[in-house]
Amino acid sequence: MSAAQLLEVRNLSVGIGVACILKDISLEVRAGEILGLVGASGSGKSMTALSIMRLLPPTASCTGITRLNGETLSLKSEAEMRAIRGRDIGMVFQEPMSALNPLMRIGDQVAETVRAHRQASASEAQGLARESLDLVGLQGEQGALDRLPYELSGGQRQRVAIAMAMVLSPQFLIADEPTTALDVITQAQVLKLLQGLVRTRNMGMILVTHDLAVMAQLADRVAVMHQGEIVEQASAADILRRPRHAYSAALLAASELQPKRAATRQNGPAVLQVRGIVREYSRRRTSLWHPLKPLRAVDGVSLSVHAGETVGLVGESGSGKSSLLRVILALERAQAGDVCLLGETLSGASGAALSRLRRSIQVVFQDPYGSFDPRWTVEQLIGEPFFLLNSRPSKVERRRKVSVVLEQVGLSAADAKRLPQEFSGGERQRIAIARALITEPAVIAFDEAVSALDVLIRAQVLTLLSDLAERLKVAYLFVSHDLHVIRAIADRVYVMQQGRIVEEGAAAAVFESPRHSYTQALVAAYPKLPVHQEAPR
Amino acid sequence: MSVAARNLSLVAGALITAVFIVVAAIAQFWTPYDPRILSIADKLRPPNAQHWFGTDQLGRDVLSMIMQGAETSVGVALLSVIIGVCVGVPLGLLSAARRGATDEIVMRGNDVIFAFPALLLAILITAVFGPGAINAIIAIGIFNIPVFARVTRAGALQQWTKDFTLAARVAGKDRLRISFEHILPNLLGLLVLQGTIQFSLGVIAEAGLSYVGLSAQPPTPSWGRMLNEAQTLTALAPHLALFPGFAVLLFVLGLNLLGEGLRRRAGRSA
Repeated sequence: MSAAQLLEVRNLSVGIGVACILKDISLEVRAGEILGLVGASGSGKSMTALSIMRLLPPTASCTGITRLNGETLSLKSEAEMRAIRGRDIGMVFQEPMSALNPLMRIGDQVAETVRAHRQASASEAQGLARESLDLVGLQGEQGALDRLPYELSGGQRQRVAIAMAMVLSPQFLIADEPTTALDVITQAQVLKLLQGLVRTRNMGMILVTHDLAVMAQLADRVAVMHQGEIVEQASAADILRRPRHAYSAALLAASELQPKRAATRQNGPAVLQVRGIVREYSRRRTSLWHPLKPLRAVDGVSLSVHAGETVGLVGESGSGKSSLLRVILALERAQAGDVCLLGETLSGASGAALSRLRRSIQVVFQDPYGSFDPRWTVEQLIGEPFFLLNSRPSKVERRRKVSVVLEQVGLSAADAKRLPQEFSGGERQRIAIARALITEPAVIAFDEAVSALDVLIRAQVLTLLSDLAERLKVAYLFVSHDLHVIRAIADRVYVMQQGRIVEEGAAAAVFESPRHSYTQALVAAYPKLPVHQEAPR
Repeated sequence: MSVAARNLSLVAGALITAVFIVVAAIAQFWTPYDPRILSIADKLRPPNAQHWFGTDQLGRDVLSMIMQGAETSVGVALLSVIIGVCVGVPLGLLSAARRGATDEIVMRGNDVIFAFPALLLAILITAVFGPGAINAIIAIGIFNIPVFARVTRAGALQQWTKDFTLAARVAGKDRLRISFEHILPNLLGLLVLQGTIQFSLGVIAEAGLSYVGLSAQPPTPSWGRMLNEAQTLTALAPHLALFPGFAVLLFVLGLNLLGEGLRRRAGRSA
């Protein structure tokens, strides 16, 4: 073992009740090294990070040895651990908003960490806070010590969280999904910052993430976790080129979504046509004399979806994608513009005409947990859109149709009697797809439909969607912030920024030679897996 | 707190409540003595073998009066909760479904009702229609309306943020239908809990109103009036005050334990 070994974990096992959460975890991190901890959700990544900090829930039982710089953390008392957390080990969490106290100025928050650990005068602590905020790139006006968290963007808040973790110059940093809640361009900046800190200060870092591409960019070595065990541990390059364990190989294969081949068939007629949509939200009046201008979420957007075609709509959060989708689905009214479905105007339709049109456009939402009424059975849920039909089919007929769509999405007819809680996230998205298929629509809209899923499940759902599009000749409008996903599924792409479409074109053209500067920045910032040279073509 | 302790408050509360409700039901058909029959010769007897809870200043059997008092108490509290649910829940659902001006009008209307104490309302109704159990039910029921409206609205607003309401709208359902098909069933736990709390407040309110003579009128027995009548005789016959007092105490305690148990159980399953 080299002398520079910083963190060492030996045979760590954690159980809660009878359930075994972590099994025999051993890993080590040298100074100046970044260890990536990858795996699906529930694989025990975060638990590993928490047990190193000894922050496990009190009901958990933990065995094994953790050493930091030769000192055995597992033998320390809680008081000693409190001193170590923050001073020797810093931690950055996923959610930058909940990690900060919303009522405290950022300078005070960073300074508080200092004063919790050592005797320091207020001005001394503020000075350290200033240095730390400078270090993470929050200089001048944007990082002024007296700003409050809500005044900062997500990326800036995450920088503050990093500044808090760095202010006492810890030797070790644990980052748990530090960029998952951030936009692509911000993510690239934060990752670069973390990498720079580790290299220049010769720290050790554990980076917990589900995203292999982020891992590939940052980590020196990677430990792949599956069901509480480390199934493979190797250098990042090795894992990416020659994964030895079957699970790592599957994970890698699922992460490398193959770009969709350009469609050779001719486009059919336009099934969905959106013209000049403007959607404004009025803002709360703050002054009696100067009413605020309404917030323009969607600013004159036009797009079209042709029969059987998959159209991707990419944009960061806040770009107006969801507002646009709600207008298209006639859930909200636009201030201007209109939506035509199969040649008829959907916006402004009501009563029977609206019901008839709604049959032709259905939707799948992002959250596999919130999109079902927990009290309804799968059969009732999938059958809900039957409400749109003039004459509702008989019970037998409904049951038959529900089992047909259930089988189309790869579930069994017997699942119809179960409740949504009995299914996993991926299965729930399949149920949501079944619900969208039941009225045999011409277009299905997907609102970040695979964003909440793990990579393996995501790949399966995307394959299912491609199959269904092929077999049923249904058109998709696929909304996502994830370029990989859009690239894997879309024939044509629209790129949206601040309520406007800034670029459109065939998927291959947009991603390979983006014309608009925003698209260029987006494509450049997106973490990529190195090209898999040895894979058979 | 352990699972057993949680269940304890639920089980104990449910048991006590059930006993009172059963007693009230039995009192409909049978009591040891007819509490309307006076027997001056037997007046102010302390508890004994014939009269377990003793007799009052007019020789009536206290146990029988307590039993019929339970009937009055349960009846008034239950009916006033039903009034509150039947009016308040739809108002809350409507408020959450429509938002905007409807919401504003409904909720401010609730504020106005909230501003009147139940007692004041009861006096008002009594002044107009005369005293009686029905008027107590109406007074307490009106007081329950804004409570249920607010609880329903708050719960419904939270349900409306879930995607399944959007899915139902895409399936062509209007907000009213979604309110009853999706929102209301998901609020049942919350409403049962609030119902228990309002029930116990109703028992107290009924006792208070009958104490000041605004609820059930003689000869219908009620706990509040029994306490009132016992007041001047406490030195002579303390059992006259103790039994109805304990009846109110125990019933309210049981209902509160039940509510607490339900609340814990809801918190655990959520």
